[in-house]
Amino acid sequence: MKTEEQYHIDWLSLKEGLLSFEDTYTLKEFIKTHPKVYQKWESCENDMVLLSTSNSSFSDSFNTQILLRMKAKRTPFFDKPSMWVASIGIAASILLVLNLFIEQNTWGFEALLGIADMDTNNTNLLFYINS
Amino acid sequence: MHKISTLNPEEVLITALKRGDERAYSEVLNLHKQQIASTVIGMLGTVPEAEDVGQEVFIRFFRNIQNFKGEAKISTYLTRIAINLSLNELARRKRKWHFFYSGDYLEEKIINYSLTDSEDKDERIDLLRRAILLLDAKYREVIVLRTTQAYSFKEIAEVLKLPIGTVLTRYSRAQKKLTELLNK
Repeated sequence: MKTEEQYHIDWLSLKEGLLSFEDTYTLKEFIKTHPKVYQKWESCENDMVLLSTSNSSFSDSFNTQILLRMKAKRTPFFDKPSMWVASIGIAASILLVLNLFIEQNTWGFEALLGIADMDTNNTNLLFYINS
Repeated sequence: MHKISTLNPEEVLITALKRGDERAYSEVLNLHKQQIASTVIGMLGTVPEAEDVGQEVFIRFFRNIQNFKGEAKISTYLTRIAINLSLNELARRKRKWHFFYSGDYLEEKIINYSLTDSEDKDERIDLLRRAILLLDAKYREVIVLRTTQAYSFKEIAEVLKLPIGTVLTRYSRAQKKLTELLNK
């Protein structure tokens, strides 16, 4: 036994030719015996038709605003000033590393950290940098 | 010998969009602005954010045009973006206002409004629009697509990527809820 909701769905399907012959027959029988339910469905559909006659619109400047946004170039993640800052930073760090190697007169990871030749007699990191 | 072009007007438009032709942007806006306005305003109501969401729909479409394969019509694709962005906006609004306004408050507003029981067409439309804003998003989107786009249930199923049975059930339940709201 179908519920009222199922008959309503059948009725909506019938409008778009999606209902089988058998279901159409049982729907028509239901409508005959439940005229008030059918009136309610019709009333709802009339409201939907009424709604479809109404129009909504955006402001007059809608198109212009979109076209302006499309014209405006998106700011790249690495813009020119940030590239300058990054380049200067990288150059400074290379110079610092070279300075460390030269000061400690060796090439290696320890020299990179400024601790080349560090031993129990000398544990002062700044010794090499200051000397 | 010239090769005869077999492109349909929409394919020609898409090709122009991919080239970045500004006239093609204007053409798409003029063709689909009304449809998107109805969808977004239907989903969100007449609020300032509706215009922002509408703009975002087109901006996203234009910026992703290189990925557009043409599997769906431009109108279907735009409607899908409009529905998704409207749902995002509704979720954002819900988070924002959850602690300030309850559903009962909104329902009271619509009930008070419906007491006039006006036969005037414009008032009835206004009343229906307010009632639609009280529906859950999943019911609202089906009603909005059906009424503003005049989509068939099959088309709604395509836009929302849902089975047609689910669309019919949601539409039926949405109508039932609307009747309840309007007859309270």
